[in-house]
Amino acid sequence: MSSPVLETRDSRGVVTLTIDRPAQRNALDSVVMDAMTAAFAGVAADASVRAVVIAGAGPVFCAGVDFGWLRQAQAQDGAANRADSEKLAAMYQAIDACTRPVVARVQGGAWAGGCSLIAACDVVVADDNARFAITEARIGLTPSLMLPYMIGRVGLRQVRRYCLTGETFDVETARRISLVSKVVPEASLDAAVADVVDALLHCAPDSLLQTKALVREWTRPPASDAAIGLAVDAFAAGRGGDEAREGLSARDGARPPQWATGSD
Amino acid sequence: MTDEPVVLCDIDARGVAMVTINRPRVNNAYNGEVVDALLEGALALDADPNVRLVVIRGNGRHFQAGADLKWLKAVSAQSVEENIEVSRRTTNAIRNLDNCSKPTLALVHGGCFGGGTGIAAACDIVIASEDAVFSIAEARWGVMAGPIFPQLNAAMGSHNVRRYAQTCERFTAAEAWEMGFVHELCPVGGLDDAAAPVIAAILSNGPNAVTATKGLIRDLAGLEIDDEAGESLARGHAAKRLSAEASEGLTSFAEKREAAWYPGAAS
Repeated sequence: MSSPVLETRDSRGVVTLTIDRPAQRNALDSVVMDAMTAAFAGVAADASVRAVVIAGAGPVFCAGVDFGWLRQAQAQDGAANRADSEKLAAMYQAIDACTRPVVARVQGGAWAGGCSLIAACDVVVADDNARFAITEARIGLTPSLMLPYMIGRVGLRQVRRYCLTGETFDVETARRISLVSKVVPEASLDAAVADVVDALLHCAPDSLLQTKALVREWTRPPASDAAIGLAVDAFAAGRGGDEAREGLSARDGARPPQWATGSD
Repeated sequence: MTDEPVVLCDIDARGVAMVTINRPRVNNAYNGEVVDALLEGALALDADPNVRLVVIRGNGRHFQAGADLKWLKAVSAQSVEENIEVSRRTTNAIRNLDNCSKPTLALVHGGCFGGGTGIAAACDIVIASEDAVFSIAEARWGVMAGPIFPQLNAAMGSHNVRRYAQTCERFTAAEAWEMGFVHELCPVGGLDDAAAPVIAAILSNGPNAVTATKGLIRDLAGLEIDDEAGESLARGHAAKRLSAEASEGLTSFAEKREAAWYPGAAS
């Protein structure tokens, strides 16, 4: 079986990781999570890698976590649910902790866990039609795993809005709040990513290593093990909770969840 | 005179609590009565299982003009202990709003000064109409805005607070939006229309998921102001109000003249 994460590497030391589930809008399931985490472990072990690009196949960068993966929690005990939540957290942590610069190539948009992916990257290039939303609470989940990265990325003020409302925002808003670094027409996306990579390759590798390490150290809040532990607790509680059960069931039945209609 | 409460609260069938500061004849300036109503109101709404989100606005031409300086002058003539108690209640009113486990939304029009900026900063989301104007003007009157600095730093960024709390300059709704303090701008009179989709968005989310999300955001960002820090803020606030500088500042306000520290002011 082919991996859902395609890995290419060029002679300059640029690794491109492409999530390849276009029919599922690159939704993140446990196979993707493991493949992505393993790919970053490979990068960590290979000193000749100078930059990483994360991309998604098809018209949309990433729709978030896979609903099938979410639904598994309904039949899991607490330990298995927590282990799954840790697996997702480990993927974000691997991206954030990568000592080499990581660039996201975002076409179409990113939702929920897709926003977490890009929040953990260093530079995010998006096309001018991209849209974004942090929609976890819509189905009774908390976007807790992204918070250690998202607060540092867009700031507390924007997190308090977009994580609590789940509103959709356009790419210009995403750029203004610093979730996205650069916006270009769709036809120029590859060229714009290539420009960013070229700029990174002009920089001295050891300088970048030290710079990224210091930037991470001084980011508040730090994405510490303690913070991520709290986030995993909250995510697992939401994933295995009654609200997520109702949220997923409402989605399956193409009806609004109880809390959205005000009925019981 | 009227018997109307200084803070109105209406909870609709959806669980949206609409809190209206209601002293329009003095631009909703806060006095002890307003502080007490906000202090207790925030706790009561937080504890009310029927409430899913809290909206705060001002009645009349302005959102909130900060402290009622006449009241503040009268307080400054009271004992040290009484002053500390007033500052403690002021500090805790903002802390309680900031700590509210449910989403909070401020709808700002007209003037939003001093403590008004603290109320807005303590809310999760701020929508302002284009006529809104802001200032952190405490130092202009020789007093100090300590109890709202934690919230202002978190909402505006300390680089902006370092400017505006020291210069006491006014800043516009558009400037507040650019710095991220205000999330959304709307035309004058358009606050309800602008708030409707944000309120609808919150109501479409799992209530427990929202509360858990807000709690974790606050924990990770280290937003909790513990009792010791709160007491320190309150004591510093009270001590500054009792200073000779505050006495001159508040008197200069009452006498509509420049304070003595302004170069060239007639004393």
